[in-house]
Amino acid sequence: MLLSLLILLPLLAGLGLTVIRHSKPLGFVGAAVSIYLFVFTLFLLFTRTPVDLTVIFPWFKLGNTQANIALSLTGLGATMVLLTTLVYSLLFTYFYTIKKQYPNTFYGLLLLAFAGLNGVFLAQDLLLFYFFWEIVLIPIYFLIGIWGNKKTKIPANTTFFIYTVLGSFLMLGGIIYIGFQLHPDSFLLTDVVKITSSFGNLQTLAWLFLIAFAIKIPVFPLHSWQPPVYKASPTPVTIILSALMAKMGLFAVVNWLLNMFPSIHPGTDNLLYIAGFGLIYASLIALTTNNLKRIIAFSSIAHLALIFMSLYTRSEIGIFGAYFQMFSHGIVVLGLWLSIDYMEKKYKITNIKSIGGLATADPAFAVFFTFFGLANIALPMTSSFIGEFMMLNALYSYNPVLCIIGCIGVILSATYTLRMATAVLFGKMKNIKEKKQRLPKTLYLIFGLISLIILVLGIYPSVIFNILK
Amino acid sequence: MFSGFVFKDKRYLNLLAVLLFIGIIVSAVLQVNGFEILAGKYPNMLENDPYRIGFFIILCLIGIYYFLVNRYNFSKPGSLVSDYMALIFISFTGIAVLASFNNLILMFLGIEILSIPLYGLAGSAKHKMRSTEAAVKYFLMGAFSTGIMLMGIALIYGASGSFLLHSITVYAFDFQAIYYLGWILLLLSLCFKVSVAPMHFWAPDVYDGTPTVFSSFMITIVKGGGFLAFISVLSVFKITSEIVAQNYQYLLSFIIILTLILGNFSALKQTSVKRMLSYSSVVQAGFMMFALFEISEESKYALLFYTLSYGLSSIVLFYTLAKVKKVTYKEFNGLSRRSPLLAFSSVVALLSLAGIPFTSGFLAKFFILSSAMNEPSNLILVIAALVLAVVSVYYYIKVIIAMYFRNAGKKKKIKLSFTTQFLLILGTVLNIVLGVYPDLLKILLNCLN
Repeated sequence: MLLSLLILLPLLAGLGLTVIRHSKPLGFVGAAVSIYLFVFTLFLLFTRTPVDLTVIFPWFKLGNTQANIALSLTGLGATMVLLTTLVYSLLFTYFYTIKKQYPNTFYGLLLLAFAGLNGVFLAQDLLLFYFFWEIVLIPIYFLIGIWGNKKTKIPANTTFFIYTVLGSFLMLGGIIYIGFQLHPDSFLLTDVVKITSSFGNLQTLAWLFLIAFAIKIPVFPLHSWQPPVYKASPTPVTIILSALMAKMGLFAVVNWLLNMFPSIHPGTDNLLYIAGFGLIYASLIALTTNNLKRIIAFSSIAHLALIFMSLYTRSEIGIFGAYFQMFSHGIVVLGLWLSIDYMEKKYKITNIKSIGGLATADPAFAVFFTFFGLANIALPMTSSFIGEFMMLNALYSYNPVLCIIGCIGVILSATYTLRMATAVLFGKMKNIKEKKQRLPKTLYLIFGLISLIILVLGIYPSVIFNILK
Repeated sequence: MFSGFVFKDKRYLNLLAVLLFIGIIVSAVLQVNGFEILAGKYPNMLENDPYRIGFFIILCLIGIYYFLVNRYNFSKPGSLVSDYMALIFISFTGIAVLASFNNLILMFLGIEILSIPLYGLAGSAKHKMRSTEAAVKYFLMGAFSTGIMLMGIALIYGASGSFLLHSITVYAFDFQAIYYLGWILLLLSLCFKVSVAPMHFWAPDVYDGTPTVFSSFMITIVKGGGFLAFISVLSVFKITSEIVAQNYQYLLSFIIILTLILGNFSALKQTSVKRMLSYSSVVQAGFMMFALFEISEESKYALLFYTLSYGLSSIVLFYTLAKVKKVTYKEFNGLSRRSPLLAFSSVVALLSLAGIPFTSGFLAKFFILSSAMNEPSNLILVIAALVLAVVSVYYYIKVIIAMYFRNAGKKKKIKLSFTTQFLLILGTVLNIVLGVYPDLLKILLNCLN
């Protein structure tokens, strides 16, 4: 029953904050909830075994198939819950106060999304998983719709919603087919796997799930909703989308798709080539665009494509590398987005051409920004290096051509990240009023913590691998 | 029912209506439990089936909710409030007949008792052209479908020599063609009553033209009554041979896909929310048709659940429609500022219609689609329906966009009375509770028996 706290606490706090009529922002509630849950998750991981924690009780029965409320904190799910609570803790600390209309509703909806995300990572029942998978979308949809960029929010948001709902409905078709044609005993992961792995030919079904997950990640060519949404969303939402919701898709691929359909299907290689093409394509766009948010958005697509490819090799090293990289990417991208938010608020810029010389004006920030950039490139000693090394290794033994595509992606990633950092940090000072800027103390703390995590994981990755095992 | 004519004071009318409903429900419950309220004078006319009576009771409960939520709206179309209520109760009599008929003739009577008052209700706003047009259209088309139904019944009678539900399954082999033709005609005329393609063309015009209070009644409770008749008749339709089964599958698939395509793509282009909801009601009826593929315990339950879920959502939405006065999307702009509660309950209702989890609409869709999975090949149909449902999501969220993401300009706040607030919260909470704990309905049905 302890696990349900991970869902219920943010749910109740979120509902409370959404409804409350209080003019002052109550950010501390969100911060307290997320920090508490982070510590709580760590506590659970170190003191309990997954078996103790598993929650199963019957929900409802339809025909002969039983749906259950089943939660469990295992392997990748545990890592992802840890990432979620960590990202939320840092997020709420950074956005402790916000200048927005209805700030408490804003915080409340963020917490509701938190509950949904934890639910997705914990659920062990196919139908319950679908519930949480869909429900994360609703608070995010309202967050973008109400507080997003005035000009672009409506079309971007609508595309996003329709895209994801299309994916989910296709998955729902798959779930219905599994439940009422294959007749498993229940919708529990173990029962579903038992029944689906005994059937040889479930191609169509696998595709239904794959499309749903690929839209969320997003994998080329289903990615077109993503850059406009990242651009139109308020920063906390962008962070949740790229650091956590994209991981939802990858997590689902591992936990559900690969488990349910273990045999490699014939089109896999073509699928990986398409993903690889998406990697190069997104990197090239990141190289040519000048908007900071777009650069990070496309960089995200590229990195996630590499993780996706590596997962589909189905080799142990590839999957573990991908797991590690999922965690690492979440943290690195959090640092990058927070830096961009800082620049946007302080210097009112989103374009790399309209600013320069930050290194002399704001040296402390420049150090952190450079560090996050280097982590994005996957320099040794940063956490991304471990993940990317393992993933490229796995791709090489699966198919050398894919490894070459991955390597080109890494090189391009270095190019566009350095291009961005150079343009922002060096050159002549532009659009900076005061000569000496000082980074606020809280930001020292937050950026410092993120850097520390990146560094620690880069040097001592076993922390994550222990949890995964 | 006729006491409506006696009490001219409007304040007591609602109370009276609710009391009447409670009376009906109590007698229905007693009937199921073996107290013979319907006397046995006319053997073989009425039957006592727990599922159908349960369906009727659920419709009555929706009816109570409908009456309470709309209690101030009845005086909007005209001043003859008591007459409207009497008409609605006559309609309910029709539903009661449909809940217990055991004879095709009685079914025909039930359908007619159900429909005739509606022609009056459709035209109740006498000074409005649209309302009169709706009444005339509905009447003409209704009369037309009645003819078809009679023809169907006559043909079935000709082939089987009986009107009784349990003996029409046996037919003279030489009359096989006539027999199945009769069934097809019967099916089509019932399609008319529940407004699915290809017999749906009257629906948008009628629902749109009818005063909002009464369209709310027509698309929730009357449609439920239509489906009650549908499932009762079809549950005796025995599929004897492989060819018949095949053809039945094809026919039903064709009807469903046509309904979903026509309904969705027509709804997409509407500028009036009311008209959009009318087309959406056609689409929802298309979804309800999925229960008819194979009539089993599951599909019956799914249909009941769908009716309840759809009723709850639609009544709330039509109440909102009545509140915002004009029915264009623009009128919904910034409703979240004008009345947060109204906007929120509409959002839950819309998400429920769209089939998003944590609302009853999702489980309703889930149940009804899974009950249609009697054959693997139906997966294509289910997927097609779900993809078309994405189209419907688009026009539902257009309303949400208007309510939450656009500014209201300088419009006044909408005030709701305390009771209405309570009722809206009740409906919304019930919608969500059913979406999380669907066994609630099962428990309720078990309590009745």
